[in-house]
Formats: sequence, structure tokens, C-alpha cells
Amino acid sequence: MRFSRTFSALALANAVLLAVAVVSLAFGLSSVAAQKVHLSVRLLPALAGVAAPLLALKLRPAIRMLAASALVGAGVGLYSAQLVALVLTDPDRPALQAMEKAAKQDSLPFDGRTRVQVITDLRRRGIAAYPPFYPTLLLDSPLRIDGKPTIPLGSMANVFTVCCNESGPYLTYTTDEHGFPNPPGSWSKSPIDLGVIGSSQVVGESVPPAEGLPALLRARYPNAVVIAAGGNGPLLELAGIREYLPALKPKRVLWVFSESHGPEFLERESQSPLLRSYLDPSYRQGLFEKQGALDKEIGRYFADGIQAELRAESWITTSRKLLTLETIHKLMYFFVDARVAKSNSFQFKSELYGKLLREGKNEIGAWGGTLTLVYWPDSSRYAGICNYTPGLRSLYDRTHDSVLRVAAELGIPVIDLSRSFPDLPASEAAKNAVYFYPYPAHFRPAGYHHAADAILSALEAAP
Amino acid sequence: MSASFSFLGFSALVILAYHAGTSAGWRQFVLLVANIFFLGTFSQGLLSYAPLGAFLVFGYAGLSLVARNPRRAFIPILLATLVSFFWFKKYAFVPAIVSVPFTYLTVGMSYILFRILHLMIDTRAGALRDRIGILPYFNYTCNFLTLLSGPIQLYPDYVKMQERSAESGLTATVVGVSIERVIRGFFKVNVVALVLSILHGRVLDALTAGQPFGQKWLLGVLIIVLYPLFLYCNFSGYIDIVIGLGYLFGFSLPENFNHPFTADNFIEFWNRWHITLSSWLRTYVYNAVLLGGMRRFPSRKIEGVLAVFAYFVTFFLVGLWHGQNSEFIAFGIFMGLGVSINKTWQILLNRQLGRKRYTELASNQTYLAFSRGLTFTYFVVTTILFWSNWRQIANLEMALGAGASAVAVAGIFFGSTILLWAWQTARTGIMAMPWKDTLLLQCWRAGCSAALLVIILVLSMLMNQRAPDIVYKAF
Repeated sequence: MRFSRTFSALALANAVLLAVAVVSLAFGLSSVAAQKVHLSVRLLPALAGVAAPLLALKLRPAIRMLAASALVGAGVGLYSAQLVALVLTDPDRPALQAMEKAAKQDSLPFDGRTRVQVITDLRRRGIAAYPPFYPTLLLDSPLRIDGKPTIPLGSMANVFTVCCNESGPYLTYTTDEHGFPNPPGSWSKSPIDLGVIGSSQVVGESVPPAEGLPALLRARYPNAVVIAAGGNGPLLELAGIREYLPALKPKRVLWVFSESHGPEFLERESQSPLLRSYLDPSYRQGLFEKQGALDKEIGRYFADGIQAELRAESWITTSRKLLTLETIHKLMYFFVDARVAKSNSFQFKSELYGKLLREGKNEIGAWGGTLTLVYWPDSSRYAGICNYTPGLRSLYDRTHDSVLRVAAELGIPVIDLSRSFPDLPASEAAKNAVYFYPYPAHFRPAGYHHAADAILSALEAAP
Repeated sequence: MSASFSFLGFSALVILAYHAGTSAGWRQFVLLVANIFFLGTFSQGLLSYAPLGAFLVFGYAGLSLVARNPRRAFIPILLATLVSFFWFKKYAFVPAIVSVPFTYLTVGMSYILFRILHLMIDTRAGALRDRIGILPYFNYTCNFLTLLSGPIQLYPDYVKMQERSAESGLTATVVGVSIERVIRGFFKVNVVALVLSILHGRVLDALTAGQPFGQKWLLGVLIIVLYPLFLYCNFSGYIDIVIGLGYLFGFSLPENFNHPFTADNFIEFWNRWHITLSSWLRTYVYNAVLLGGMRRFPSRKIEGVLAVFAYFVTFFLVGLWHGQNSEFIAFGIFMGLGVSINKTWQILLNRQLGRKRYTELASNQTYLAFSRGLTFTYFVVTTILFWSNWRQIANLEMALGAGASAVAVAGIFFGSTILLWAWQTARTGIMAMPWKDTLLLQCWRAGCSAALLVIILVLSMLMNQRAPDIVYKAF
């Protein structure tokens, strides 16, 4: 009786050891197949997970049983940790608390709902609300319009958009006839005195509309038109110039270079064959003429996205997350990512940037317009603000110098906003806190006002 | 440096150095360096050590004087030691004008006081005959394992422990048992206590005056119950760590906790919670008060009253020891009342029912279940004074309201009665199981330790939040 019990326990221990080896092998192989970055972080544990149980099979039965018990315990521990993390750690909570505090300081209301909740609530009230459109999300899988791969640059036309929330309330606006954040009828006004190209800062993310860059510039240039979307990098912005500005022919064009969208964004966009085509002066997707088709495809894309987000909040997704140890995987990714950021900071492709800046300048020059580059700093470049580190500052300084050198070589005037904000030591960071949030975000209302004042003064001083 | 990975790393280095030599001199020297280094980790400048150093030197000088002239020196030295302790610890009744005018270290001072008083009292009574050298004195009073939060070990036990340590070596079993205990302690402090403190903070944030009654009283239950559970995990976890590390030195430090929430009554609760403190106070305060009273009033009739009074004084001091403000005076009164009412109840019931029937009643499972529930409820409710001040208590009461507060307390009583009964029954059942198959037991323990270790490692990274410091470090 005792012998058979020990024997079956030993068989169970052997099975556990073998199972751990098999699972580790599968994990290692799947990591290779999925071409995960930094294989050493995944492959070394996988190899250890294969080798250790196989070696343990050679040990004395008692030790083998202890090893198997420890492995089973470790597995139970992993799932328990995942369960606790899933229930207790809300990754958004600290950010939401900080945002609520900032909203109070700026006397703004606070909305703690997720974007999909806001959209769902509005739709229940009969308002056809949509999320913002981010062209950068389609770099690897463009939409197909008329059988051709297409990367739209604007959203659906004339739709109520719930953008994002960094200041307390959600930034909302109704898109213009080409899906950009401009007042209705902007495209039929003439003459257009200012065209503004850029990314999220140009949209005014994420302060109330009256405090954002578009409204502040329109106070001086009522016929200003914004061609921008969150997440845009320099190549998508060149595409915006090529596709939309010829129809408007603005006298002045501000091309806003976002410091935080520098080397990495240019690198990623340059991997897209479709976007690389914009370096050819004759290339266009013809987006201006295709708004009807774009509306249909983007509408479908939004519907799928909203469904996916709603599904993500269901108990089935939560159970899946638990079973696949998703939170722990994320942790692993976080550590891998942190290493990537440390060891391989992207080199700014000055030559490529020079090429596309020249293309933009030529394009605008074709109708007699003038191009001005605006260097838009990231808040984390200032000591003591948000994610500031000396390493990040040094990366930003290198990007800053490269961008300004390229612009100088091309004779493009630059409004350097990085010099507009006080560059104070960390001990005096509180003085800068009026412009920047303490969490990763765009500028505060006062920051936008400060930036807009600097831009308007520079434009007025320009010949 | 307390229940942290750096503390474990530091201890591991000391253990290696300690076992590098076998002579008593070497081991004392290693402990001396470790204790000095450990104190050094709290450095706020050299001057900040002056009061603690002066207290230790004064203690040693006082001990020598008591050894030479026990009759005359004892009372003045004892009083001077207590006064200097109150002075350095800035008790509320000490005028601010006489306080030391710079920032200084008081870490572990309460525990040092207990050790010094014990040395003085036992030297005076003749229980400690051998002269204590300065090195053993320092290593005993400032042992890095027990400096911050105890356990409070008596000197003869400390000496015996050192002698046994010299005889015993490190075996695989000792290492295994030690690692298991350290993991359990680390899990309690860095996972369970952390989770409980987060939850306690959240439920406090969640309570508002306008909430529905059903929600309010439930929040009230959680607010009252979560903190004592946190405190238990925080303190007993740290004690598990130091006891576990002690095994690796060959030390057997005294236990400080023994399933306190399953105590059958409030007197027994204090036999199971912070055992070394209550045992110290029982030896040096309760016995002294009781014997003094019996000498003064030598009548058997009032023996019971004297015992109740001695209990009150002892446990009032337990409460008072925890803090220097009026909340802790109230906490002390409630602790004193708890044990003295418990004692009175036992005496009256014994008289009323007779010894036999009283013994029968005291072993009745239903009676015990309600008694356990009442003990738990009394402790968790009075512990509010431990973690909040009068204003917070008033705010809490205002938000809850009298009705929800009463229902919450009743809920805790009935809930804990049922849950603790179930827990105790399950525990008794498990302990009674034939764990003869030691390999199976070892496998179970290995599995549990591995699970706890993985949870500690993963959650300490995932939570991105440090566990609260050891609460008892502040006393």
C-alpha cells in the first residue's frame, strides 16, 4: 500500500518535471517563432526550464519529489500573483488620481470614464460619437480602398470625436469635411492665412478646445487650417502637406516637429513602403478626393475597434488574461522594453529628415507659400518634470541639434519653443509645473498659451 | 533596512562571517561589527547617535552600580533610566523646553530599555550573578536581529542561545527550515500586509457620509478589521524573518506570536500577541504589583481584586508603551479594562458556578466560539485608537453614523465568531491528520514555500509599491 502510494507520487513527480520541460520548450520555441526582441530574456529562462527538470529526473526519488513540489508551488504562485495583480493593481489608477488633482488645480471638471465608456454613453443619448483617428496605427496594416492599400491621414468627415483626457475633461470636437479638427467650412474660406501641420500638440491634446493650439492660433489667424493627427511623425506630416495643402494654398505653413516623436517615429514610418513613397515628389494617395470612401472604411475600422475594446472589458477577456498570465507577460515586456530603451536609443536619421523637409519646402514653395519649422519640446526634457532623466535629456538635445542643423542647411526659419520654457534645475521644477503635468501628457493649458504666444510673436516678427 | 532584500543580503553576509570562525571571540566580534554597521545604516550624522550612545553607557554604568550596591543604587538608577528614556523619547508630558535640541536616533530604544531594566532588576534580585562584560552587554542590547522590534529576550536565554550556537552547525534541515520561515515572513510583510494596507486606504477613501446604509456598515467592518490584520502580518512577518535568520546563526529566538486571533479570551490573547512584551510585563510589573498588594493587604478575600488591579496596571502600560499621546492613554485604558474585566468575569463565574461547572463551560465549543468572537471584536475596535487620532475617529464616526457603526461592530462580532470557529475547527482537523509520511509533508512545505517565493518576487515588481515599514519599529 505504502509502496504503491510512493510509486504513484514518484510517477506524478516525474510527470510534473517532464511537463515543465515541455512547457518551457514550447515557450522558447514560440518566442523564436514570434521573433520576440531580446531572445536572451526569454530563451535563457526557457533553456533553464528545460534543462533543470530533465537533470532533476536523474536525482534521488525523494529530491525529485521535492523538486516537483517546488515547481508545482511556483506555478501556483505565478497564477496567484497574476490573480492578485489583476484584482488589485489598476495600472491607470495612479495616473487618474494625478489627473484629478491637476484638474482641480486648473479648475477643470474631472471625467474618470474610459473613452469607450464616454462614446457608449453618448451613443445611448443619440449622439454618434467616434474615437479619434490615428494614422500611425495603420502603418503595418493599411486599409484597402478601391483595392489599394491606403493610409488615411484624417478621420471621418463631420463626426463628433471624443479624443483623449489628460486635463480632467475629455477633449471633444467635430471634425471638418476632411476629418481634421477644424471648424466647419474651413476649407471653403479664402485666403487661408495659416496652415499648421503636426501631430497631437497641433490637435490640442488634451486640453479643453478653447485652450488648445488651434483655437489660440485662430484668435490671430481666423482662417488657419490644421492638418494633424495624434501619433504623426515627420513622414505622415509630409503626406499631409502633399495630400491636402495644395487645395488650400496657405501663405504660411507651420510644420510642428514634436520632440517626443523624433528618431523612433521617423524610423518606424520609414519602414512603411507606402509612406516612403512620399519622398517621390509625384506621389499622392489622392485622399482629398476620396473622403466618401474613406468615411466608409474608417467607419468600419472604428466599429471593429470599439467592439474589441468592449470585449476587453468582459469577464471572458479577464479569464483569458488570467490563464495566459498576461500581466506577468506585460511585466516581462516592460523589462525587455526598458533594456531596449537603455541600450539602443534610435539614431536620428538626419539625412532622411533633410530629404522630407526639402520635399515639404518645395511643395509649399510651389504655390508661393513659406514654411516655418516649429520645434515643440517634450515636457520631460526639463529637469524634475514627469519622466525626465539625464539620458532622455541628452537624447532630446541630440535630436534638437540635428533638427535645427538640417533646417538651417535648408534655410528654413525655426521657432524653437524648447528655449521658450525656463530650463531650470530639478530643485526649481515647481516653477515649470504650471506648464506641464506631473504625468506623461501634453502641455497644460498654461503651457499651450505660452507656446502659442511664442509662435505668434515669432510670426509677427518675421518678415 | 528592515524587512527588505537589502536586510536579507546584509544578514547573509553576517551569517557567512559568523560561521567563518568557531571561536566565541570571533563570533562576538562579528556580531559587534554587524550591530555597529546595522546601527550605522540609520545614520543622520555622528551627533544623532549621542543620545542612544549615552543611554547605553548610562545603562551599563547603572548596571555596574546596581551589581555593586543593589540596595542603595537600584531605585535611583531605575528611576534615572526611566526618566532618561522618557526624555529621549519625547513623551508628551516632558516639557519641550528641556528636549535635546538636535535630530537624533531613537531606533530600538524601547527594546533596549526592556533589556536594560531586566538586567538591573535581575541583578538586584541576585538572579544574574556573573558580571556582564561591555561587549556581551552591547551585543545583547543592540543585537541587529532584535533591535528594531524585538523579540525581547532575557539575558540568560541569550547566553544559552550563544552557547548552543557554538555547539550546533548548519545542516540542510536548518537551512531549509530557516528559508521557509524567512519566506513566510517576507510574504506576510511584503505581500499580505501591503495588500491589506492598500485595501485599508481604499476603503477609507471610499467612505462618504452620503452612502447607502448597507454599503456604509460594510465599509465600516472593513475599516475596523483590515488594520489589525495588517498590523499582525506586518509585525509577525518581521518576527518570522528575524527568527528564520536566527536559525542560520544557530540562534533560537523566542516566539512573539502564537495564532493570537484564535485566543479564547482577552487574557489569552495577550499570551499570544507580542508574547515577549506581555511576558516581560507580567514578570516585572504584574508580579511586582500583585506581590506588593498582597504584602500590603494580606487577605485571601481580596486576592482576586488585587489580581484584577495588577492586570489593569500591566496592560494599561502595554497600551501606553505604544505611543506618547492621549490616544494611546485611551488605548492603554481599554487594554487594561479588557484584561481586568476578563479576569473579573472568570473570578465571578468561578464563584457562581463552582470550579467544575466553570471548567465545563469554559470548554464548551459554543461558549468558546462566542468568546473568541468577542475577544477579536474588542481588540479590532479598540485598535482604532492605535492607527488614528481623535479627529480622524470623529470624522469616521460622522461618516458612518451611530447606526452603521453599531451594525458594523455587531457584524464583526457575529462574522468573526463564525469565521474563527470554522478556522479553528479546520486547523484542529488538519493538525490531527496523520502527517506521518514526512516526505509528503516536506513536499507540501517545499511547494508552499516555492509558491510564496514566486508571489513575493512577482508582486514586488508588479505592484510598483513598497510595503509599509515595520510599525513596531517606531516604538
